[in-house]
Amino acid sequence: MISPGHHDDGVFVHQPALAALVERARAQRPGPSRLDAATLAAAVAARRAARTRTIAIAALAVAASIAVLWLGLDRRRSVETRGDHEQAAHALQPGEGGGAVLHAPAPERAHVRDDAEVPGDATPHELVPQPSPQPLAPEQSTPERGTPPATTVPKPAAPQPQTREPSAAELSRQAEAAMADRRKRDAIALLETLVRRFPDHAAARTALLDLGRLLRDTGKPDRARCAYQRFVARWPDDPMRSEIDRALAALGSGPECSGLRPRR
Amino acid sequence: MVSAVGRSQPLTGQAVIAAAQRGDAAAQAELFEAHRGRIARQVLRMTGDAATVDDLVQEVFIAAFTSLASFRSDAQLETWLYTIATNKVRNWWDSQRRRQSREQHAARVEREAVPTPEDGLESTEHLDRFYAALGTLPDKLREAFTARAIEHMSLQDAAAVLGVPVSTVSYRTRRAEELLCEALGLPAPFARESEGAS
Repeated sequence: MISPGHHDDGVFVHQPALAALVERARAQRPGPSRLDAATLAAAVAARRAARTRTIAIAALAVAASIAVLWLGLDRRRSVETRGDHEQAAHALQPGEGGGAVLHAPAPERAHVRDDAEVPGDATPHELVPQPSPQPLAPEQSTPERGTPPATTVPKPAAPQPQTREPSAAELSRQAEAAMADRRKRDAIALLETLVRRFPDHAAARTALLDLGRLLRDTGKPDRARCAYQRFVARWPDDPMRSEIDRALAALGSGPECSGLRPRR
Repeated sequence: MVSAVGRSQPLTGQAVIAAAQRGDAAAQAELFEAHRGRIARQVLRMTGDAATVDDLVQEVFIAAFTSLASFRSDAQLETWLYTIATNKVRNWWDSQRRRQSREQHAARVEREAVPTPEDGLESTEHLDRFYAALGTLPDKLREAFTARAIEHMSLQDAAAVLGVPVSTVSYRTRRAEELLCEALGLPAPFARESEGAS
């Protein structure tokens, strides 16, 4: 029986009646167990097999998702490229672009060397970035000296620089590429960007898992802990929870986190 | 760490752990036999439910052995197992809450106008009420209270196994005690202290 319990750190329970209850709870002894090592070993083997199956299925699902995403992006890119070419061809129609006469195939029309003469106020650079699967060699694209150029290229619609921010899927793909190339710092930066910009996106879940592992592997346990803690806070019932808890336990204690960074 | 989490010297050495990490069944059985009693006591103290002890102990060791390869040899196995058990117990409390069995039980006991713990300590209903009240606490408060008050860990050990600063453990334990007293109809513990001081 304890009244308030004592220890080197001080009193455990201050309320005497509660302290008595706590002591009764402490004094409990488990009854005889039906568990034995053989039963446990069989259960462990079964759990391992189930986990292997789950991992294989998850890997297949991820691979399929990446393939679908990649095909989708590829298709979109080709549609955009075709749209640009059509737009350029439209701008070069005779009578509409100042009497232009076209002889070259569409993908090569707008490919102009930096030192070529450019009509109007367009700068050479505005014309260069037109996509061309097989860019012409300089000698092919430059008009021969002394002969009039067969094609007078009016200023086509200059491609707009891509200013939009990458999507979560794009960041995820870039991070995966960085991880595959063992560019861990790049991968960490990309994953942190993903998690900050898209905290509720499904990709943020795996991003936090990868981030924790990469930070741990690169000797940043406090930041790794922050990543794992953020995962636990966001997905407390996730099937990976026990793994994360173990990782956190292995990392030990440290400063509290402010977002993805330890508070100093 | 060992002093509080496991009060005796570790029964197994690094060699046994290394063998168990390689999948040696005999080494895993040895680890199981060495730690099962402590884990069973921990689970029982945390849940108050003798019927669930075997299941949770089995879950703890399944989780431990399936991920033993990731266990760092410089860490304490006892601390690691304690953390796994804490997580399993947390899941158990969650499932209990989901089924609302604890809440229903607590409500029924409250209606029965049983004596307070101060009236007599022999009744097992008191322990039932205590665990029903413990089950209503937020996970973090319950785990801090269990580690400190029931397991008698030092603040440092509790902070280590719970992964929070010492000050946080201290605060959570006091707050848990206040809430438990409130749920059990006991006088507030810290008001009494301040009265005594004044």
